[in-house]
Amino acid sequence: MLLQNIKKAQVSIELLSVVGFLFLVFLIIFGIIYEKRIDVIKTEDYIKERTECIKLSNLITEAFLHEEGIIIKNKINFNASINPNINLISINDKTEIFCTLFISNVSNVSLVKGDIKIENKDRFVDVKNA
Amino acid sequence: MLKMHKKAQIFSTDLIISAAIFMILISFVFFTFSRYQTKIDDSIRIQDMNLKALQITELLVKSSGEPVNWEENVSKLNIAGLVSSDRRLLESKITEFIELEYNTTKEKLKIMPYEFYFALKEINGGVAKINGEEAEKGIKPNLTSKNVLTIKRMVLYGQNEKIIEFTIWE
Repeated sequence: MLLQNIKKAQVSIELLSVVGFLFLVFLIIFGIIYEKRIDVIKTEDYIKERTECIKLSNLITEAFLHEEGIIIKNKINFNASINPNINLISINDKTEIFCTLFISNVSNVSLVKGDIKIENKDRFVDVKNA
Repeated sequence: MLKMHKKAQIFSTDLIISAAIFMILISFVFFTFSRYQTKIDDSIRIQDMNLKALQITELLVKSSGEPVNWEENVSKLNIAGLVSSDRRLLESKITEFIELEYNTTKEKLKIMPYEFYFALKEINGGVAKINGEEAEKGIKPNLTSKNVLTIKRMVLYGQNEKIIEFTIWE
């Protein structure tokens, strides 16, 4: 019988601990990056919705400043609510996405995304879906 | 028999150095992330100030306000406008506007939560006078003011060209 001295490569406990630790660290990093990515997407959406809100606010002021009878036709990409009582426009009924409405004599209306028509009727700005 | 054991060591100098570099890089990544968020928040706030400053100035120099004769009964003021027609200032309106209480003006102009400074200026930059009084109101921004945004518009006061300067700041 031939005796063979077999030396097997050994994965030490230390190596396993290091690999385990590194795996955990990377897992945490990926978790944080994923969370940040979601934050970035949310911020992008917020900016898009807020830009729409500002556009609507500008159009209403523009209609008020022009002569009576002016009609502005435009398109909005989100639902919007105009609330002249609190001078705010909110988007998609979200309380956190709003902008200032500088005119009080404007329709109190909820608009659906799509074409809109803004009309200056005797210094009152009428806003509705076209 | 003496045996020499050589064990693998976790806390070697190499490991410590690499771990330190790794931690520095990770800290840098997170610092950059948080910096971008702050930048975005700042940008949104400046955009808000810009919207307010532009729209308020436009309303002041292009509309007579709501109601049209608000200067006769300031308590009914809804929208402040200072002109009789496009960019032609009306003395009675501007006088009443300057006399309005600061916080009431802020509320009526929807400036909250920012501060403002308004002035009617001569072409040479000096503050114009109406009935011997300097035509300005509000609080001037100072060195500690964070964001300052000024909008200027040319107007006609009588037959003279003047500049309306509206500053919004925080």
